[in-house]
Amino acid sequence: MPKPPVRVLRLAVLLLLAAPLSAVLADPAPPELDDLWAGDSPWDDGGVIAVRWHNRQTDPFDRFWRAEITQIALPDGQGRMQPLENGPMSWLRPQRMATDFEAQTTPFLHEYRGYPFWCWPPVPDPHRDTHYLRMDLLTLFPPRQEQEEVALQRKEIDRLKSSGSPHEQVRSAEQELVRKEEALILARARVRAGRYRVQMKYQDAGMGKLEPTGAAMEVSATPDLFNPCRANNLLFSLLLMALILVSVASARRRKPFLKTLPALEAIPEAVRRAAALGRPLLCLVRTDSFLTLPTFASLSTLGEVSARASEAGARMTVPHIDPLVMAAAEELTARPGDNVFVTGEQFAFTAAVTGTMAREKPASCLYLGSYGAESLILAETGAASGAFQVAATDSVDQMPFLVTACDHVLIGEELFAASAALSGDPAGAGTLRAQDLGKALLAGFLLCGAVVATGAALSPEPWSRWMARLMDLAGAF
Amino acid sequence: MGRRRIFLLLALVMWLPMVHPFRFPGLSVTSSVQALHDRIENLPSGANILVSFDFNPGTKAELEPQARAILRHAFKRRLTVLVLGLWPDGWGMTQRIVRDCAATAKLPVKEGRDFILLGSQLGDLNVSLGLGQDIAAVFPRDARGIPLADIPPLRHIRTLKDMHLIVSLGAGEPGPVTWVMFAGDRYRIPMAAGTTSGNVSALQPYVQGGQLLGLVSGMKGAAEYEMLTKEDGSATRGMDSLTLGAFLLIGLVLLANVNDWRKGRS
Amino acid sequence: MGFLKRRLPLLLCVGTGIVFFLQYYVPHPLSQRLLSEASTWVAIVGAFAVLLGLASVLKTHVGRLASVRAGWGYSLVLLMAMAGMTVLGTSCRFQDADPVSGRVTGLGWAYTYVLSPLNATVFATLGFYVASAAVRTFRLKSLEAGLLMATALILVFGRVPLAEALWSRLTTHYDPRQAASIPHSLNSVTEWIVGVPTLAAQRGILFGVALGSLVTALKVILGLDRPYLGMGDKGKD
Repeated sequence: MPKPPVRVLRLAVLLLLAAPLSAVLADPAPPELDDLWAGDSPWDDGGVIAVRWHNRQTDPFDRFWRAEITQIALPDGQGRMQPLENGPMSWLRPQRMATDFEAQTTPFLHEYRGYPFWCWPPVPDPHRDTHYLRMDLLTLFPPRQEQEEVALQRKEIDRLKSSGSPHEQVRSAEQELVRKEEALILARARVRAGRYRVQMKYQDAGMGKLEPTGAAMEVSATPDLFNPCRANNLLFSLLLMALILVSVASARRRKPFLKTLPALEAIPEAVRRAAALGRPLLCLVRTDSFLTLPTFASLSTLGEVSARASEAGARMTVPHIDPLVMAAAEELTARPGDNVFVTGEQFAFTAAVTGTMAREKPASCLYLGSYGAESLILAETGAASGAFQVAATDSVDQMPFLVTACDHVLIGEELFAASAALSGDPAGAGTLRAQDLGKALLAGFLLCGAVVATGAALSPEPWSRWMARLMDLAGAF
Repeated sequence: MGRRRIFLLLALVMWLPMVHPFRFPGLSVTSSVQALHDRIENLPSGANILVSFDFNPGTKAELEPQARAILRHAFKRRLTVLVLGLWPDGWGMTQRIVRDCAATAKLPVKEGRDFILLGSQLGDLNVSLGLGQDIAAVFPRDARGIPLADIPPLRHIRTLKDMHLIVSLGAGEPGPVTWVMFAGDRYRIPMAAGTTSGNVSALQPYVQGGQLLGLVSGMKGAAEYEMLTKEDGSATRGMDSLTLGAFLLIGLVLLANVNDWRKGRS
Repeated sequence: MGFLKRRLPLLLCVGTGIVFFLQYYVPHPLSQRLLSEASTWVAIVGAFAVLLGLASVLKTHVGRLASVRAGWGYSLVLLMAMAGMTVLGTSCRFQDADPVSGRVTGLGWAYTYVLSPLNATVFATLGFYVASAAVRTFRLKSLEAGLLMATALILVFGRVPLAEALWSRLTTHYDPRQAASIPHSLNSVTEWIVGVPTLAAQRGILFGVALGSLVTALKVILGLDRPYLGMGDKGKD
């Protein structure tokens, strides 16, 4: 067989070498995104789109990624979607696209830490990186025109006011501002309700522009009617409600045993002392705000104390720091005139009350509610004036001061129990029982948790592993 | 010993160091204060921090030194500081403190460039929730009356989520707990607090739980912060009075117990 | 009339309670808007309540002044101060500094040089009361009292730099073989006391407070406790 010519051999060798070289030099295939998904971010008030995907391969360190989102339709005034030609585009860059499993998935799961297990996303595959982006539509597509109009209108109002323009002109400008602010609210609602297209793109060094990868997805954000991440909270509340109703019904049939506390016995004693000595009973209902629950409990207790004082013929003085609380107390006390508003300033109130104590020398002082730094000033002045003092507070940081300066103190939940215990009302006793049962349940969980956690830390394998899993299971609720 | 004598002795002992400073040694920095200092120290120049003055003149004795120490540090690091308050009756005091810190800063500090006084709003959680949506909706203008859109640093700061750190200085409600619950936890923004020494225990659960990265406690905490930033502020000078007052207190307690023991014997 | 005075308030309270109880679980924007509207209404009602307070103050102090009862001098001072601040405030549109020139107004002056120092003064008296309470309370009468006193002494010393310096000196002179078991920093002892047993006790109390608050709220929502009905039937079932 004749040998092929040298030139042909050289060409064949060159072709054989060039094949792999051309494969190397040609554009690489775009990176694949497994299970690419985009949709409404769940369990929120709408306006947020979520994008999720996995990728298996290692990215080059200089690869640039971004998720592009384009507005393709917005609702009109009647709620019908109107498509947009060349709608605005915005983008969001994922934090990192590295392959470190921990770094990528921990932030992802961190968002759900503390939520019950039914709110957890699917467990990430340890062999793949899971990425999750939340795209807040108002951040990406702020209604700039409406925002600028509102800003300009505010400037115009400032200019009119500072130049001393007539009142009608200023008022008209303010009305225009209200219209523009309403337009801004509507514009924001339209953005949140619009339709969008999401496309993942990447760019490597040497590439002229970003290239798409993965399919483009059309999405819209919708508000949800129920947040299942709070379902455990709802279940517990409903359970407690049921417990209260059952306990109250049971208490009406047969009143439960209520343990007497020295501090609870001290309240009627304070009333009797005031009646016997002919000096007033000073009662303070101290609150940060009318709306707090210790306020309700304190007002209920005040009502009971007032009824007893009225029966015993004792005078009462009830200075208030909050006018709303004073208004409520006037409805609950036997003598509405006992309630006096002093001032809303914390230390001015303290100075006024200590002055009252120094002048009137009350026989007894009752401190009910949430106290601040003034608690010791009040209690020490009361002690100096020779009063019998009882405090009932939920303020954990003031308890030490009140315990040292007062004769008796009801701490924490005892404040909430006081009115029920004083009234002797079966329904009140029933709710106390429900409260105790709830506390017993919590204490049981705490004890079990402490035992399991201690076991997980101290016991040998495989027991410690099982206990750690038990802890995780408990944390999953 | 009579109450009045105790008060007189205490007043004398605490006044003495103000006339003749002793500079007692031994101040050491707690981990909570160190953590806040390190966080501010490691923020890049131009980072945004929000400082909320949630107190009124009643508690300024302990909280003002903390505020000054933190603000001076932030100005030194060239951070953009947004200042607001949740207690309207403390706003006048807040403006004076911030402007005074700016005027006495070593580097030039300008309102509207390095710090912005947003204002004060009573509304506690609604304020922090609203700030999480849009700062300009809650505070359309700053304390000088200038619309926020016209303030250059605020063109890039729209919501609380643009903050690198929130520091709440307060000892009541609304205060640090409000910010932790409705800003720190909700928007995952790093949070720190400063409070009076009597209120520290109420915030310890949040430090232990990691919701507060740092906690400055009372005048001692402010003195620790001043030590870290190498400043000689009012807290450092006040530590002498605090030291002598504490020793007097212990001495009186021990004296009272010795007296009781002697009476018991006789 | 029974319906208007008893049933209607009860229905309103229970209905509103249930609506806002469920609002927490509904993330829809309408739900959030309901909450913010209700909060605005509450703030407006609260603002009007200041008028109630003002009426109460005037009634008390003008009455005392008119009948020249004991303490009428204090009432005169209070009314003059109230009138003065009102005049100062209205004259400068309740601004403590002029927004343009930055000049302090009368209200700003009164705030800076009267109100602020007075507030700080009363707060400062707390220090004196702490001293007198401590001297009165920390006595070795029993084991518990002794424990209280010892803990208080450690915590007071732990806040004081000089004590920290003395403690370090004392502990460094101790037998090095046992040094590992002695904390070299009083700060660490103080932090442990505040961070472990105190916090544990506080958490227990906070659990109780939270549960008590929850039960109180549910009692009002379920209509079992009706303080809004007043003294008539003590507002309870």
